[in-house]
Amino acid sequence: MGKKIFAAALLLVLLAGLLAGCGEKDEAITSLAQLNEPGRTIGVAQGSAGDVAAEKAFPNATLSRYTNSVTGFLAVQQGKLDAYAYDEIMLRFALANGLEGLTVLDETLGDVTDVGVGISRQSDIPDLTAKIDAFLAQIEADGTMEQMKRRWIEQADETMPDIPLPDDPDAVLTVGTTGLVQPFSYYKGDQIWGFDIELATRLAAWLGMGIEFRIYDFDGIVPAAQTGAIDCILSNLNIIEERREVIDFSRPIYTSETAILVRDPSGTASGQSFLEGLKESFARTFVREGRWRLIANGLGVTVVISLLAGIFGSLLGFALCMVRRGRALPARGVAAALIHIVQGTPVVVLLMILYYVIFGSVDISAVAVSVLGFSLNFGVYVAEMLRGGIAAVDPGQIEAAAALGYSRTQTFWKVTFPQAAQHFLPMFKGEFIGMVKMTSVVGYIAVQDLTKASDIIRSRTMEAFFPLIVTAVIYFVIANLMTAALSLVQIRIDPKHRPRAVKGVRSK
Amino acid sequence: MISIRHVKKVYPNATPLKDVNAEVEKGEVVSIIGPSGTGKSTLLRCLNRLETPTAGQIIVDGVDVTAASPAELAMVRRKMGMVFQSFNLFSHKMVAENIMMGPVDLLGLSRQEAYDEALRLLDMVGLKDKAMNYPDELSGGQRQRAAIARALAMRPEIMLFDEPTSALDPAMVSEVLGVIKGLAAQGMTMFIVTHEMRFAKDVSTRVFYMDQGEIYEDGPPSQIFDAPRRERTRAFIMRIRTWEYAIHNRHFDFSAMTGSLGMFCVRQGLSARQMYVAQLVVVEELMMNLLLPASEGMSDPDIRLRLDCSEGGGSIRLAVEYPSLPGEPLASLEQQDQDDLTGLLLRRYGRDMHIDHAGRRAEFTLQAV
Repeated sequence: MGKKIFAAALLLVLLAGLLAGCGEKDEAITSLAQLNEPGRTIGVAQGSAGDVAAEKAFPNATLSRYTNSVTGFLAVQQGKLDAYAYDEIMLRFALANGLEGLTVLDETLGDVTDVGVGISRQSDIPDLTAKIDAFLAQIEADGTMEQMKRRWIEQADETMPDIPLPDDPDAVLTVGTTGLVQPFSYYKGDQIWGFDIELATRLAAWLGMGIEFRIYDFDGIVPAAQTGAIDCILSNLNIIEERREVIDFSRPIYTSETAILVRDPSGTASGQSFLEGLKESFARTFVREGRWRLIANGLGVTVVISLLAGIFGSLLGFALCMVRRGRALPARGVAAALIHIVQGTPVVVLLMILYYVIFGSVDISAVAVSVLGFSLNFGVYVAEMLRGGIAAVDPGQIEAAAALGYSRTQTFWKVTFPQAAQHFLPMFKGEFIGMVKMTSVVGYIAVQDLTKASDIIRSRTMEAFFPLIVTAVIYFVIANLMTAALSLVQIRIDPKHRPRAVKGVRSK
Repeated sequence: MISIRHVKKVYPNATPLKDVNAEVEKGEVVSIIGPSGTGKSTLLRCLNRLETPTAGQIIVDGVDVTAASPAELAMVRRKMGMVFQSFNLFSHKMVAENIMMGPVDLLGLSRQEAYDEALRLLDMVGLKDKAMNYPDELSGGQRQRAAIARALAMRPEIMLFDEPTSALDPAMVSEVLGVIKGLAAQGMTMFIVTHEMRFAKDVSTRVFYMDQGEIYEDGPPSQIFDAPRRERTRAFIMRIRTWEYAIHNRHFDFSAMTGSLGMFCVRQGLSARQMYVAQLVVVEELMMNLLLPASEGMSDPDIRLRLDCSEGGGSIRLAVEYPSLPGEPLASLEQQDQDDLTGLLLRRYGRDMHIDHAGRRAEFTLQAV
């Protein structure tokens, strides 16, 4: 009885909270002044010019920092945010791309920020800043820059000119970009596209170099340049004083103004039925521009990283476990320390340390670093699970094997391991599936996996749900396929599931 | 065949073997008996170096086990089959595979040869129809017979049995002992650590009585069991067996206590009548009617019961201590004129009654009339 009353009271409180929240959010925002009030929440891209400008303009409101602006737009759409402060050009493009029920306030925040090329101080290319400045001066002088701005920004013309690059270049310019901001850096189908991409390609051609783009999350891109993983950043990067402390900037390319995205008071819901909406979402997410290729490539990367990390992690875990069981004391200490350190480190942090610190100046693919990071992470868990499995084996049976005349090694393979595997496999299965899902963080180090592919598509389709749900379903399916495969192994090694016959003999 | 010379085994907090010496010839069947904790199992496990002696030598067929290389040790172990108290069958293998493993992996037999041999041995221990069962599908007695077959499949010259029946239900002891007796009859050299005195007497050609970390008396079973020469052997063989039970709670488990007492009586071979008297007098009358009522209101009464019983069940002496109880709870027993049932029963079945009110203890001999 008491419980029922409590549950009903809880429900009431929740409902009241919901209603109260709705009531406040329903008021239409038409001016900047309305936003500078306690209780207002304004989204900004973390560390962007919008972040700086909004902090100055709305001291009374709460700022919520996003690393993916599309998520921020959708939060405004759903009423989680009152407004989103962002680059005016990109907001315009987002609205043009079908961001429904939202509008941009006529007033901008007033601050005008320069946008430039971010340049790594660790780059192998000598005098890169001077060279880039010279290049920019040249294309400004010959009108190329003006013509590019007109095409991409004013006319929204998506034609990418064919810029010839050297066939067999001695060096490659490595450019970091996000691929999430139309018209500067975005994906058209599975191709990286946009103003910044054209500019970077022209730069490489001018330098007589090849080009390689690396796709980072917004908050990973400056650290990547800082450590020298990339030569420069071309991704609508605002020139901000804090960033000057760690990287260099070219002369300004263009300027950016911060505008405010709010819910459109006159906005009406589209008249589509649920089914039509679903069809449209499906077409936008998969079919248009061949975007399914992004998903397929991302899925491939996720599967490759998961399987390789599963294999190498298991081998590493086995080796670590053997070392810990062995007689070499210093090696045992090292293995135990490694296990403790890796277990105590979040896998994202581990990946970033590997990518930016340990391999910061080494030219190694981010996929390889991901495989290494997840192998390490998975390996220490395997080592611990295996140790537990081995500890669960009856010591009497190990003694019996010794008494029969089996050596330590023979005893391990004939008696200990087969039984430990039975204890170990159910845990291994769970841990492996967990690892597959955890690979979704590799976007932090510029790997385009399944999650990243879905982020890129969301940045084009401006849809919250469909790509996310599709991603969830795909993870669910691959996780279950892999579980099923491991379950087969588990059944195979269970003696009770084997036929009751002794192998290799004829019974009389 | 086996020389045990000045073997000593020291653990950080115990010294199970102080100085053990013995020479054992081929074909001898040696039973190792003695009180618990006197190093019987440790000695057996030193023979195939499952335990490494702290000092001393053990020479088996000319090989010093205590200094053997891993390869030599493996060879010696193949010659010595071992049977454990807890069977230690490989739980992931069927019975037949358990028996085949050693011969296939270590003796180089073909699987077919090993399988035929396994079935022959299983037939010998009466388990032919269990060849395709897993160990956990067998009873304790069956498991131990399978374990014996596994040890025999290595064609050992010596068999070591470490309390082979201690983990078995009483009903299954004989099936295992039967198999061991059969082996003894075939002339196998054997060491058997056991608590089954009658079995040890029947099966062995020689008995080690171990006490306090050494072989205290070594002789044929006729000597050890019928005419022990030394003091402590005699005390052990003829020993007064004891049942003890301490009660610290007014709501203690009565059934557990009567059960434990009943089990003790059965083990001692007491008659049903003697058992009835012990249970009636100890539990029903003494506890329920006199001692527990006197502990009324105490959170932690301290009552200790002790039953001494000589071999053969001749006399049973009951001692009870109740240091914390107030008053003189047993005073009524001394008053002959009292006609309460408890007094009558205790005076009827208890002889030589001695009540020490100040020392808070009492003793009497139980007599089943």
